[in-house]
Amino acid sequence: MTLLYCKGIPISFMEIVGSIMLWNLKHDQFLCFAVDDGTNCILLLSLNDANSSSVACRHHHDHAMRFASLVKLDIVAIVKGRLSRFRGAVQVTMSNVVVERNPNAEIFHCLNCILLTHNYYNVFPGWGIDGVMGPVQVSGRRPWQQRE
Amino acid sequence: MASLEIKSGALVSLQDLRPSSPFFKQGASLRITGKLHEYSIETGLATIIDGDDILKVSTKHLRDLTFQVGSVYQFIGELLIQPDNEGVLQARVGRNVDGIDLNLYHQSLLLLRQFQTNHLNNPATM
Repeated sequence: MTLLYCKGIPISFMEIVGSIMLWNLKHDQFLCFAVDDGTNCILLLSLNDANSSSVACRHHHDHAMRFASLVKLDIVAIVKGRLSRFRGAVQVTMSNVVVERNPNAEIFHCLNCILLTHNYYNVFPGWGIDGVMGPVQVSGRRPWQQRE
Repeated sequence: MASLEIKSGALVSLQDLRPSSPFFKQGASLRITGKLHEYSIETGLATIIDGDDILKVSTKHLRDLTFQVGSVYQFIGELLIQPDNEGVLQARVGRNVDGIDLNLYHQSLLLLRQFQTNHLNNPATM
């Protein structure tokens, strides 16, 4: 089920980079985080049932345990997952979590999201960042991306 | 599961937190970044600066965070405006962000705000 559209393009999977604001592990039920990226705060959920007869559910449990060991309050994480809805609210079912230690990571992600919206979803035809950041490079390294 | 009650901390710079600013509201959830100028263990108050702007931060809710004067920190919390019209951020999350590029940070803030303004003016596009 697709929940969101951007200019008619369906969106079902997302990546968010932000600060962990909430950490709630219920054994044999779920693990959830709330992630704040500065524009919104969204709930991320991983199902967690070690005793299920379903192989997929036990696999989800293994992932949830790994996520729980990685993440704690106050850190910044990159979380990927599928969009879903629960009681009317949009949430994300986690498929991967990575702890991010680069202090500029959120800035880069924010800029890349704006660029993605401009270049791919074409949300604002004619709106550009040339006046602020200079010409947008279609290929190669973006001006603000540091070389490792 | 109950609906999420944690508010997103709006990205602001310290110069946005003057009394004349629309961000300067009682209880506003904010995210701020600045260099630690001084910290008092007794009062739990930290003072951070960014250029010429100063803000006090209450750190009583924070755990496992070491304060080092001169380092850059980022805090998320609610703004408490005191009777003398001075704002103090009640931080609920904080972290050390030494190595952050503050110039790039301010540029991205400007871009993001411009993007959000355009987005709000074109709700039909989403």
